[in-house]
Amino acid sequence: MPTQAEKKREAAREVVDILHEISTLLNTHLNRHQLSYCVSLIENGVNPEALAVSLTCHLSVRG
Amino acid sequence: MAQTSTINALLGNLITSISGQHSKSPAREQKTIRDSALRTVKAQQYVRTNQFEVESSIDGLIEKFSILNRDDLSSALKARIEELAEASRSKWTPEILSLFLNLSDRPVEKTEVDALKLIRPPTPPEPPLTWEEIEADDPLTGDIWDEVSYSAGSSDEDIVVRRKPNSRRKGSSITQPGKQETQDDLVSPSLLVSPDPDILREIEQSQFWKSSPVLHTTSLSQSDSAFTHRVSELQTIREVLLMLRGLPTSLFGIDEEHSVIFYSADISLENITNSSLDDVLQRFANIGSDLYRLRAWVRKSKSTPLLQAFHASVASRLRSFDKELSNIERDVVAPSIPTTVSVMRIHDTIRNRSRPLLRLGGLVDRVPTHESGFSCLELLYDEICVLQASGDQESYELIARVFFECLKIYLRPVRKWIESGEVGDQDESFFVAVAAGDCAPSALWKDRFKLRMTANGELYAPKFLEPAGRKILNAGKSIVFLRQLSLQHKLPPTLIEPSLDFNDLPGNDSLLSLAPFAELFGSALDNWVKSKYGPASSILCQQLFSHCNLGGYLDALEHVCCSKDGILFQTFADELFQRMDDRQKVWNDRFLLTELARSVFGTLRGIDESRISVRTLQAKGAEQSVKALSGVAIDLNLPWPVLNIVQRTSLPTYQRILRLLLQIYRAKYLLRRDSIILRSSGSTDENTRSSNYFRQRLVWFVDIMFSYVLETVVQPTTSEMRTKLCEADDVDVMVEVHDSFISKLQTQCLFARNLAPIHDTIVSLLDLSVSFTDNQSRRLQRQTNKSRFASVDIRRPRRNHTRRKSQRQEDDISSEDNDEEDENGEGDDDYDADNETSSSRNESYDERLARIQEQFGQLLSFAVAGLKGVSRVGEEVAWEMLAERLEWGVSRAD
Repeated sequence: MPTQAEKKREAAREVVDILHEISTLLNTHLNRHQLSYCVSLIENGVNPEALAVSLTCHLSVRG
Repeated sequence: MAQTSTINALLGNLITSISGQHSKSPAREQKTIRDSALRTVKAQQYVRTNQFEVESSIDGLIEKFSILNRDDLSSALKARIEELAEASRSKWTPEILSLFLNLSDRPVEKTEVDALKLIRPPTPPEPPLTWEEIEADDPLTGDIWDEVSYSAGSSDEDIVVRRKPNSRRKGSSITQPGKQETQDDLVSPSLLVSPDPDILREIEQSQFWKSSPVLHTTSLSQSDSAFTHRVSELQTIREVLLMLRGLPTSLFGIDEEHSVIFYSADISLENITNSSLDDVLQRFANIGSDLYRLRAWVRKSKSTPLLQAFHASVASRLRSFDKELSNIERDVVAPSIPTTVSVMRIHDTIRNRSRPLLRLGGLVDRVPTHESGFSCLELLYDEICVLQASGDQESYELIARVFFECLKIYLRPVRKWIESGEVGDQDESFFVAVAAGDCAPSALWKDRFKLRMTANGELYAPKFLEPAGRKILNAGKSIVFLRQLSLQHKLPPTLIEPSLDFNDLPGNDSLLSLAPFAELFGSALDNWVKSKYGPASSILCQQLFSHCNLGGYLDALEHVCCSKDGILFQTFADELFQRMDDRQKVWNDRFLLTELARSVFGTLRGIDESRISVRTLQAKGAEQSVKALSGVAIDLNLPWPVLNIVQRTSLPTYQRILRLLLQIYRAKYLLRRDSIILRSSGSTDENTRSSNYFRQRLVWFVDIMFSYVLETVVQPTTSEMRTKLCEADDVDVMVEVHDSFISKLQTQCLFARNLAPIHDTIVSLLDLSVSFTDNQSRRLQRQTNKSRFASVDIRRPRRNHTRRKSQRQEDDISSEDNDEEDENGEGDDDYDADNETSSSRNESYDERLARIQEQFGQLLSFAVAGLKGVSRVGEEVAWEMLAERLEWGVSRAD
């Protein structure tokens, strides 16, 4: 019987999967880890736009 | 600060993660990048993310994908966005999406939707649900799951359901036990009857002569069985009977082209020589050939009703012959009494039984295949007469019966015609035809129907019907006539007609059996026709007299034209002459004359005066001086039924008699008047005596003519005609009687063309009385010169060009000068007959009288001589009588 925490984890995992799919669809060049870091950053109050700028300007070496 | 450190840490990891891909750069550089990124992230100039804006951007992006023909991308993105919305209620979702939007790098061109499968492989489809799972979950228990038993008569039992290979149902079968399950096997084997091969083998073995090749041999040896088959008599008889039925057999062959049956000569019978057998078989073959031809004829269909009836009769005779063959066969195969099986006996029997049929077959050959006539009837009739004469009673009876059956069909249109007067327009086989369907009713009897004739002038009917042809025609015509008169209800109801059938022929009993068929049939046919024709004709004749008043109209004709009542006629004539003498300009005005005629003749009983009219012709000139009184014609408007009897062609004769009588009456009138004048004048001189004498002769002549026409000619002929009319039983007879009456009148009154000179002579003699009276009146006038008589009676010879036939006022009426009115100042005008060629201006009374007398003598002699001559040639008694009577005058004149 899955515990609450497991359910939560499962749900979070599912959300991340969906986000990953969306980012893939939008061709953001983010893998799963990077995505999770970004999500964490945003959840910690980082402005997504600033983050996007820093990622594109300062880390302009893209694959 | 914790947050900052967290952010730092995260950011560091992120940068490391991203730059770690490209890990060629040194650590210091990486630190620099980290710091600058940190500084950028922490910058405050960025505004807060507007979630609605993000939402509309995402929607716009989805729409953009579908517009740019990336429906897969569009639908995938839309589905993920919806999933995200359901799965996560996080407040950071818009920020994340905003990040994605900022980081997206030309997804339209670069994104592959299949890449999603790498992220999350598709879940495999669920295994299909099986019955086992269902039953494991919820077993099928309970009554509801039991097999339904259908009723015994239900057709569902017969339905066989094919088992599907992937059927989910297992266990119970839906078909009834005991039935085959394949769909094609619908008939149970128990219903099939298979032939018993043993019986078939037995039959084939019995016809052993078919199995081995045969050789024809003419050997007389009975033991020559190497080349012939020995058969038994029973088998031979069976084959013969089958052959006679027209069936193919092995002993006899059929040549269909020539319709001939021949026998195979390779069989022999025990104890019988081959030649005898051949002979018998040949005879059988001949009979069979004839029957075969007859059967072939019967197989063909026929077109006309008569031929169809004949065909049916022949077919029924064939059937009865077949029945007889069956009887013969039965007697041979299963005899009730012991009999000997003998080919010869069978031959004799068959020969006797088939003889009538073969006679019929011979007749059939002679019947034309396609004909619309009746030649088969005539052939049958002739054959019957021949057979009866030769004494072949059976054949005679058979063919006579066939004849009567065909006759019944042939007589159908005849019967219809006789009973109802109807004839089919398209019926070419019937001898009565419509000649002129739209003719006038007055010509109904004569012209509407006719008898069809052949090119030879014979009636288009079988010869035995020819005597009755006219009666049949008249019978139908009577019906039509009565119907036209709307008197068909007067016909008696249909009596039982004598039947035309062989059984009813009077010759069937022994007393009359020697009478020839022609006589017997003729009398039977006659009775039959009479039964139809008699009532109609007699009723029609009666009705013509009673309903159509034929007698009344004939009376009217006699009164008007033939002076039946002299007083009436004289009344009319005198009034007419008076008008003429009064010199009225319009004495011949037809309306006035019509009124006069109606007033005089309309008093007769039975005459409708509106039917009387007078017709006048304009006198054309002096040359045609005959037209004065002949320009007057009294017409009697006869109704159409009477006109069928008194034909229109006879009316001119009546008019001529009227004219002649008027001329005679005119002469009489003038002479009578002259004698009155003379008596009143009282002179007794010599001239008077001679003129008296001449007048007497004229009176005598006129009286003779008067009595001849009325008493010798008209009255006896008319009474004879009336008597015969009343006795007539047929309209044809009535018409004939009247026609002969008219022709007799014409002959005896000298109206015929070849008697015209004599007729003209007589009229000239009548004219002489006109001249005489004229002469007398002039003399008297000269003597008195002032009498009042002249105002009434003087006739002025104005134009006396030809006085021969003038009963008119000689000049005035028609001529151009109309001013001869006054009687007093005539003096010279009297002699001023300017155109007078027969008398000179200065001729005296005596001279004129002498001339007239001389003319009288000449004309009389001529007339007498002429009459005697024609009476010798024509043998007409009346002429002879007239000639004799006139001869007295001739002798006295001499």
